[in-house]
Amino acid sequence: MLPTCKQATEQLSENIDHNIRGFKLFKLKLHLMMCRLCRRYDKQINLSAQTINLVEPSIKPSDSLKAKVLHDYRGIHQDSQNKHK
Amino acid sequence: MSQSEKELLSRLIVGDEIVFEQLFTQYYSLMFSVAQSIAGQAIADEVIQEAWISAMKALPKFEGRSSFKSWIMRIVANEAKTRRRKESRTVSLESIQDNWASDPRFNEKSHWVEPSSNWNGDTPEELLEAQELKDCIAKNMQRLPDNQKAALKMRDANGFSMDEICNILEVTPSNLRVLLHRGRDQVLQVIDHFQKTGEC
Ligand SMILES: [Zn+2]
Repeated sequence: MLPTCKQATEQLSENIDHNIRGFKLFKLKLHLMMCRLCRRYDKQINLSAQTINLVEPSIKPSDSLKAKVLHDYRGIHQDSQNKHK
Repeated sequence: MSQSEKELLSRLIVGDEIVFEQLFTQYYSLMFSVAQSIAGQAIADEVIQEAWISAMKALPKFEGRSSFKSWIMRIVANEAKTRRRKESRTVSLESIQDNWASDPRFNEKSHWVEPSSNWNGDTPEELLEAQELKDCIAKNMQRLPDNQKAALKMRDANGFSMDEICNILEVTPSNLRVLLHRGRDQVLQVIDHFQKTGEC
């Protein structure tokens, strides 16, 4: 049995992370040969994954958290200096 | 570990606060996603603070077998797991099957009824020429379930290996595949909608 379109979309995403092999790959390729919509999806899911790399929403730390960790860092550094003395 | 990373870390050990701030800011977003997905948003910042304390104490013993980035992500994940137990918070990994079964883009035989359109643009850069789309994708990514968001950020935006992500987020490889597929598919649908309508 060949994969359905929905199964093919899942496998195409999987294929980004590790190459599908063997009979499973053969069946997927066969489906793609016959299905232009899934060929399109293949291209688009790869593009989407690459896009994520470029738009990753980056959240910023609050000033108070920044101040707290910096304070911790200072303390740890001083402790280790005192030990060495 | 790269030479430049070694250099940064040696400055961190001698107490260089500028380097510390730089690394803290650089990794905050990813650390937040990891902490949030494991222990919940409410205590994510506390988890991150604790993680940096543990990391800075352990830093002189860091041997560089992995990159600093994956090392620090493991630490924040461990911290988050400890806190989750302490606060006995039950994190519901939202059920993998939720409404996936009734995706309106497919018919009852799981073949396409509403396929995506042909897109203008063959590269991510071409697609993202419209700043509006960029903002729209970022906004929609923020709305993804926490574990999908963390998986996507680690995998597609930061190049973590599948094994590393499974360890950090405590998910099985097959669950991770589902999380990644869902997240990417969501982004694909956002782009497709924008291509069709010019709107977010
Ligand atoms: Zn198909």
